[in-house]
Parts: sequence; C-alpha cells; structure tokens
Amino acid sequence: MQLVLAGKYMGAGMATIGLLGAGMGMAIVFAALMNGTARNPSLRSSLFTYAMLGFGLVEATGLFCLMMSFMLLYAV
Amino acid sequence: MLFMNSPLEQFEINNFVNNLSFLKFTTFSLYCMLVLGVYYMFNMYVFKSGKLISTNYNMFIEALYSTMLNMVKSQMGNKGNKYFPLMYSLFMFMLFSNLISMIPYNFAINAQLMFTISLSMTIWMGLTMLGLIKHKFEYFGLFMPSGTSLPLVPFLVMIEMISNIARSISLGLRLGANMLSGHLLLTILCGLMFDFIMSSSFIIAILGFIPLIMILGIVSLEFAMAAKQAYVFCVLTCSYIKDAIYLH
Amino acid sequence: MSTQFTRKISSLIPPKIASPSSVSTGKGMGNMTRVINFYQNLPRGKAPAVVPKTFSEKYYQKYIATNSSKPLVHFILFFLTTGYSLDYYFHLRHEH
Repeated sequence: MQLVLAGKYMGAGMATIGLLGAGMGMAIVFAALMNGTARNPSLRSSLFTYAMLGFGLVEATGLFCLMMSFMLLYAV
Repeated sequence: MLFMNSPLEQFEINNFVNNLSFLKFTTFSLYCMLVLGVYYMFNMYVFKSGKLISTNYNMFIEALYSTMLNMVKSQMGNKGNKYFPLMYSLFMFMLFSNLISMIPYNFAINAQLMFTISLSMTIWMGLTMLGLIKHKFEYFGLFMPSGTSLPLVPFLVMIEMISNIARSISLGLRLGANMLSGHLLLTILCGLMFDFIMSSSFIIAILGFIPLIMILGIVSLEFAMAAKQAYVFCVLTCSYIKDAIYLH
Repeated sequence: MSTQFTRKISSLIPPKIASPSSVSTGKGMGNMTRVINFYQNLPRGKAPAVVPKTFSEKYYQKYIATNSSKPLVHFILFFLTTGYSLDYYFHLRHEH
C-alpha cells in the first residue's frame, strides 16, 4: 500500500515535467510577437490576437500536465 | 471542526430531486438556467430603453458583439455571416459560465469534462455533416494537402484523418482541462494558506499571509483564462467551420 | 417581445418624407410642404420623463441608466448567496 502511494506521488511529480515544454512554447510565442512588432509596429493589433490564440493553445498543453498530476493525486 | 475535503469535491453534481427517478434537476441544470438568465438580462433588460445614447452596459454588450463579429468576418469572410449567431451565443455562454464559476462557492459548468467534450463532439459532427452536404465526396479532399507525392498519400491521409478526428476531443478537453486545473489550483493553494494561518505558532501564521500575493496573481490569471478560453474555443470553432466551408 | 422589438427599430429609422425626384422637379416650395409639415409636427422640447412603476423599471432608472457600478456588486452578491446556500445544503451542514 505504501509502495502504491509512493508511486502515485512520484507519478504526480513526474507528470509536471511536461510544463517545461509549455514554458518554452510560451516564451517562443511572446518572443515571436516582440520580434514581429519590432519589425512592423503597424501590425501590432492583428499580431496580438494571434499571439493570444497561440498563448491559449500553448497554455492548454501545460494545463493538461497539471491536470494529469492533480488526477493522479486526488482521483486515482 | 475543520475537515480536509478532497479538492475535487467542488465539481460534484448534486441532485435536487431525490424521489423521482425520471426527473433529474441538478446543480448543473440550475447553473445552466442561471447563465441563461444572465444572458437574457444583459441582452434584453439592458437594451430596454429605446434611446440613442447608450449606457455603459450597452457598450459592454456591443463591445462583445463587435469582437465576435470581427472574429467571424476575419476567419470566414462574408460566407460565414450566417454562423455568427452560433458563435455569439457560444461565446456568451462560455464567457458567462466561466466568469460565474470564478465567484467563490459557485459551480463550474465548464469544468465538467463530460459536458465540454460532448459539446465539442456535437460541433465536430455538425461540421462534418455540413462539409459532406456542401461538397459531397470532395469533402475528403480536406484530408490530402495539395502537392503530395503519390507514395506519401496513404500516410498523409491517415495522419490528417486522425488529426481531424482528434479535434473533436481536443477542442472540449482544452476548455475543460483549463477550468478544471484552474479551480483545483486555487482550491489547493487556498487550503495551504488556510493551514498556515490556522496553525498554533504566531510566526507561521504571519508567514501564511505571504502566499496571498501569489494567490492574487493566480486569481487574476484565472479570470484572464476564463475569458481567453471562451475566445479560443470560438476562434477554433470558427476555423473548423472555415475548413468545412472552403476546404483549405 | 418580437413585436416590441420591431416597433423600436422602425421608430429609429426616419420615414421617407422626401425623395430626390419630388424635391428637385423645380416647382419651388410646393413640393417641400410635406417636409415642412413633417418637421413642424414633431414634438419639441425635452422628452417627457417616464415614471418607473414596476421593480425592474425602477431598478433600470436608478442603476443602469445612471451608469452605476452597483449592478455588478448585486450580481456578485446574488451568486455568492446562491452558491453558499447550495454548498451549505449539500456539503457544509453534513460536516460536524
């Protein structure tokens, strides 16, 4: 029983490794937004909506990891 | 006195009517009705005066309306105008239910994965039917990007088909998982802070107020997420409709 | 509700009182009488103040027409009480 509990906690911890990718993705999205705005400031408003869309999509993948670890902690 | 409950308890669906098996009136149905009521209030009650000069509340609704109209027009062009009511009502429903669920003690409709995924599957099925009716067999051209060499065709068709089918789940799962993990995170953090503050040591109780700043940040992030996930859901639905209408 | 709504829309659209052909046939003021009559008969001065009777009308006059931020507070309070009473009914009263 203790072993199962240990496995559960270790699994929950390991599931959060995926947040690495989400963090990198967010950084890339906003770096690209800054890059694009610096090159052509008049496109800022339309670029911003796309950046927000990309941010939403990227953040969702990170939250899948978070959800996985919460599920392992509380629902399994 | 203090019970540590599972953080998942807030997503429990409770039944109001216990004696009748054929009638299920749950918290879920109640909150659907409340969202509908808020939607009605904002769109009918606020617009009641026939005056030309609008109030700030009118401006609020008009801003939402024009946001959605811009989005539909930029995604689908003029052909998409008849899908605007669908997108607008979807967006308003998502937005209000997400924002209502951010008020403490309230039930989160969109954290029910069963609900969001079945909604997105319904949307996906409708889009597939729309495409099949509009383009007949040419609809399957959606699965093959133009300019593929012949040996690659079977693999590409398989991959495109799988990614198209995965849309039906990922659309709802994105919204549901966002709301679910957001509410779980807030509950767990608040529980942690509560433990600190209720501890017997005075210094630890003082230290417990420090995470309050972090919680403030996360709450505002969650509010932003509530609005943005509604928007993302609608943008993606729009782009899927665009795929079904125009075939790339 | 729909009839009320269409009536409001039609009251916003100005009636067609002058068309290019009727105004520019060059018979002097004769054709303009309809236009003049229309504008003479319009009500003048301030619009009559509507006296609110029901609760919703009073609420509208007091909070929404004045751009007050109170309705948001009422909204949040309403949902707090609803949510807390539901939570009390289903969970909190069982925990003793």
